[in-house]
Amino acid sequence: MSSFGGLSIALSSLLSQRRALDLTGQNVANASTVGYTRQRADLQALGPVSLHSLQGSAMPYGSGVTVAGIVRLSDELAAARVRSSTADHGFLAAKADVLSQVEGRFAEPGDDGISAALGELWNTFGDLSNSPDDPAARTAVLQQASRVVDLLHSGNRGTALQWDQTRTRAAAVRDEVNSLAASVATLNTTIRESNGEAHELVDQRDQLVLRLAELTGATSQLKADGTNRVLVGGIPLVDGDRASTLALVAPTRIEDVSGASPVRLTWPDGSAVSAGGVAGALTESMQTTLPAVTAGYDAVATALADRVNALHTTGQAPDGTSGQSFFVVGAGSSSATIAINPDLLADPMKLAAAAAGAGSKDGTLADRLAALGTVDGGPDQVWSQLVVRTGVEVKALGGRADVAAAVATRAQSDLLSTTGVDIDEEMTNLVMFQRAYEGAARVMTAVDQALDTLINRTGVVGR
Amino acid sequence: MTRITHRMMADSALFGLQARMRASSELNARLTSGRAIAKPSDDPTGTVTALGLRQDVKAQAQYARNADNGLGWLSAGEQALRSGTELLANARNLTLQGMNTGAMSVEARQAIAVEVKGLRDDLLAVANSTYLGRPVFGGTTASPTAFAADGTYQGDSGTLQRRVDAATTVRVDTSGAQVFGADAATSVLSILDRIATDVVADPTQLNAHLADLDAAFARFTGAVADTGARYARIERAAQGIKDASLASTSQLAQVEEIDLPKTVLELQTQQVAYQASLAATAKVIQPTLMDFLR
Repeated sequence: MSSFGGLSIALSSLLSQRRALDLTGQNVANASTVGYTRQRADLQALGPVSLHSLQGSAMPYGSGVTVAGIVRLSDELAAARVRSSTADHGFLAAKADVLSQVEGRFAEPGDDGISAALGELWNTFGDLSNSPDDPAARTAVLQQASRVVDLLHSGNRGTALQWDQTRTRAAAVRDEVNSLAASVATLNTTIRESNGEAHELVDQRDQLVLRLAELTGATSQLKADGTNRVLVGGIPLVDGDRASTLALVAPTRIEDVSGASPVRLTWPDGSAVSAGGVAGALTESMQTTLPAVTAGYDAVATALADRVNALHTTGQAPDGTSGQSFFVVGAGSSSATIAINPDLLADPMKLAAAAAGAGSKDGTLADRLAALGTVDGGPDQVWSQLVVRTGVEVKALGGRADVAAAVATRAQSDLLSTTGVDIDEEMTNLVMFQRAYEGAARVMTAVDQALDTLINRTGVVGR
Repeated sequence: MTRITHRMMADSALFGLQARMRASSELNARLTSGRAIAKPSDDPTGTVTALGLRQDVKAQAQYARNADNGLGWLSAGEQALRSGTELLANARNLTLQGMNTGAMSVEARQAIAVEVKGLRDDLLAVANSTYLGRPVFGGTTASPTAFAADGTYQGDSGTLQRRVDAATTVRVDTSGAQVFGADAATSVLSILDRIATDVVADPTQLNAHLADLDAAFARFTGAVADTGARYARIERAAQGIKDASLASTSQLAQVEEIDLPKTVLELQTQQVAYQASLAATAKVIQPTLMDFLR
């Protein structure tokens, strides 16, 4: 063994401990960094140097310590669980959000909703039945009917507007997904070139992939070269350094949504992306949820027009002419096109309150119209079904979203259990490495003193 | 053993605090609005009940209005019939006087005839009495009067019905044709006409006329009784509507509005829990080994 072997052992320790200290510093510095995965210096004892010396074969002991590598203490399983639960939560929360906006527009139960307006309408028919000869009672019926029509229109418009906003949001999500995918691909390139040294870049990539999972329900697979593959519905969105670009295919108006022209995200080859997460919730809302709400408003408008017209056309106006249609409904969505017959608006005396063949001041028909509020399958019932169905759905979705949030938090906590920085642990390491450094320095001093004895104090007998 | 890190504790503390805050804010919103159901998803079942009850309250308000309107019609009709009955009683007395052939001079008979004619005109006015501008005895006619000056009935056979609950309607008018007589030749007006003529021209006919008059009188008193009975029916119904409306309103309040003491207590509990978790979090998050290494 060389005379300076001890010095080099001490040096290797000094270098390694300092590197470990630096790493502890890095960990502490990032204790609160979101997505940071703690790292550990993997210290390894160096084996004996196998040099043939005059004394014979190799040294029987090692030659110091080295940092074999920096280990990133990640937990891929927990990370996958975080991604899938975050995707679930993204999906459910986005759906619940869409429906709770719908529910908010209902204004039920209250005095400003369609239910209250319909009730008032039936009451004005009741008043008309009491005084069919009173022009004020006729005007009141038409006014109240206009209010119901206005509410149906605004319900329809509100849903259409929400659909437009959802479309804009879906487009923004698509853009974000595409830019995230491109960033992941770029990071993959750098990570591959860094030969497993770029732990911070991997952390960054994991954060991007987590956001991708929330947006699209994506899963991730690690590849041997350190890069990854991000799969959406089993098809790779990112594969190593290549990223696909998604497109949003959707009609521009809610009326145009149909089975033939569905709303969906597509791959570059035109096939549909089976996305989960926020994107899945948004496309599903645009495809089924919101059109179903419009259909609900339509059902109310149709029930109202059909029921009232069916009775009103059997009646007769004070001048003896038979009743016309009370409501007119155009082609397409009935809640958008329903209107009061303009003839009636122009001349309220054309409103039929009397049964056919009865006297001109008969109010029997108006009484029957007033009773429509309680009829089975009448507009009130259809409306209350829509309200309650939506309410039940929002409650269920909200509950499931809460559960998913709790699961995601739990998974996040599991992940942090492995990857998070524990200050106590770092402090302990800090003390440990510091002491080891001091020890190594002491070893160096000892060797130095030994050499000093050898070099300066030997051969000076009698000097 | 699960490794516990500081971020984990911070995250879970934050999650717990958020949940507590959310619960508090929901309770607070309930307290300030006073409503247990602000939107359907708060309580879908309660929403069904609330919508139904609201509809009931509205319908009952309308039934109450219908009943008031019906009572107005019925009392107008009853008033008219009562004055009609009085007029007929007067006419009967005059006819009896006229039948006393021996004791009366021609002048006296002519005076009776004039008086009976006056009663006839009064009765026509009664027959044409109106309520809210409509003839009370005219059914659903468009004509402004129920009887023409010559006693012809101008009304129709239509009836006025007022709905006092979902299944019940009550008739609120009285048929002028039935009470006064539809035909100009046989109506009570024409009886009076004939009496006025015959009391001068042919007093022997008065006996027959008296019988006709008695029959008409019976119709009037019958109609008064009938009107009274229907009035009572609507009044009972109106009372029922009032009770039902009160019941629906209080039920609605039970479903839609908060139970104040309970909600306040819940809020208090939430706040105590929130403060406790704040205190616990502060204690747990603070210390690290750093506090003890010198």
